[in-house]
Amino acid sequence: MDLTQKFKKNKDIVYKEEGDGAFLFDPATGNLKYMNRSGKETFLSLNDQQDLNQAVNYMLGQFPDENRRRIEKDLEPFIKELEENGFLFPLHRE
Amino acid sequence: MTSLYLYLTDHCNLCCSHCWISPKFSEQKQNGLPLDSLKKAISEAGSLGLQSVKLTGGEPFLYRHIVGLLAFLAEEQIDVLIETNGTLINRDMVEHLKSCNLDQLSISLDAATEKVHDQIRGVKGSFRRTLKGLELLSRHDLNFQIIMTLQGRNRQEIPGVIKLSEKLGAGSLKINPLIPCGRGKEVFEHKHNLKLEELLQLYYMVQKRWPPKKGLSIIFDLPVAFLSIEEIKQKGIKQCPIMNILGVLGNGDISICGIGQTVHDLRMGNIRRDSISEIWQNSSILKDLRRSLPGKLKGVCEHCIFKFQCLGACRANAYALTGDLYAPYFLCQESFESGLFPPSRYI
Repeated sequence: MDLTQKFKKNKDIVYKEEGDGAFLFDPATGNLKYMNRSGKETFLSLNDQQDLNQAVNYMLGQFPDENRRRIEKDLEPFIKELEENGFLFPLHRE
Repeated sequence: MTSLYLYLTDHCNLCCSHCWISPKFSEQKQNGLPLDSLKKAISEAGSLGLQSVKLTGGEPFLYRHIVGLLAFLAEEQIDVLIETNGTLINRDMVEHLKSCNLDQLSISLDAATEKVHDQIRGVKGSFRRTLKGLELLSRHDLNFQIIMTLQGRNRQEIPGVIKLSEKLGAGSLKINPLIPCGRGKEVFEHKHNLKLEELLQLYYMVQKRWPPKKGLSIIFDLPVAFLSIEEIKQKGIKQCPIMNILGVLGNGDISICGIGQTVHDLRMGNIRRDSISEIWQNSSILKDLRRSLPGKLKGVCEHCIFKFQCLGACRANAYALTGDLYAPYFLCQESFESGLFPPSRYI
């Protein structure tokens, strides 16, 4: 996985916190996902100014007992799912 | 089309206070639909993608040609789901059930005590007869589900029914809230139904006291908006099946499901004279549903984050109550108006 990739959130989706986690819902497509606490924190850490490396660093700060490799491993399918559902878009490099 | 719901007869040997179909009472076998007409309709539906058939009623085992129908469905390798009160299941019937592709056999049991069950089912001795049927299924290792419909009279019976379901070896127990349709309307008029707050309390109690484990699976059939995240993850989201089914009533009339029994304007033809595929492809009711769900859902359903998956819980019920296929589901709307709808699930 390319950890230097940056992502942009779809501005039309709805983010709703529930319990420790949060729902993502796209009213245009009906796509829906519930993220647990670590998913929610990851999602919140993503923005078009930060690459995935920075997101991993942020997650390490939130979950100090986890190791970097594990976080990176979990990140890949998570990001892929968010992309497939149209919740995130990769930013194209210039 | 994935499934046909066959309301094999509009008669039943019980007289349940809450039945949403309101069949006529009879203990006699019923001729119902000619078997040939049913076979023709099922074969025609096969070309539309039919995978399963749900046999219900009235009481499906009152249908005189049930054995012939089961044999035909076995030959055609169509999955069979049955909803019954279980009072007419005997050894012979168990053998017939064993030889078809039985996907689900659901037996109604509203209490673990004879008095309460018989009171709700309107016929003395029905508890014993249903129990006999259940024991027979259990002895022959046939997988079955128990369905309990909740109202004021049996709210205390939940622990007993769970215990009895476990003892009998049921695969699952489905706890249904009562719906104000057919005879169920009268239960609401007499205020014998449970209020939403009470239903939610019972749901939380069941979740807490009987968490998911091996063996009996408990399905509390509330709209997804009220279910816990854990339960949604584990069991998925139940969708109103209206986009994938057709109902055939006891007189052969074709409707969107069993609702045609009580709401005549949702009938679209009759299997004796009309083609199932023609109706499936050209009915204005079905075309409108396909164009408009979930986009035209109203009230709280319009703003619910589950609307694409849930499709408004039960469209037939919405229509029966309001005459509008896109009206919000009554429990969800009531909860929204009383401030009980989860805000995290509303946009």
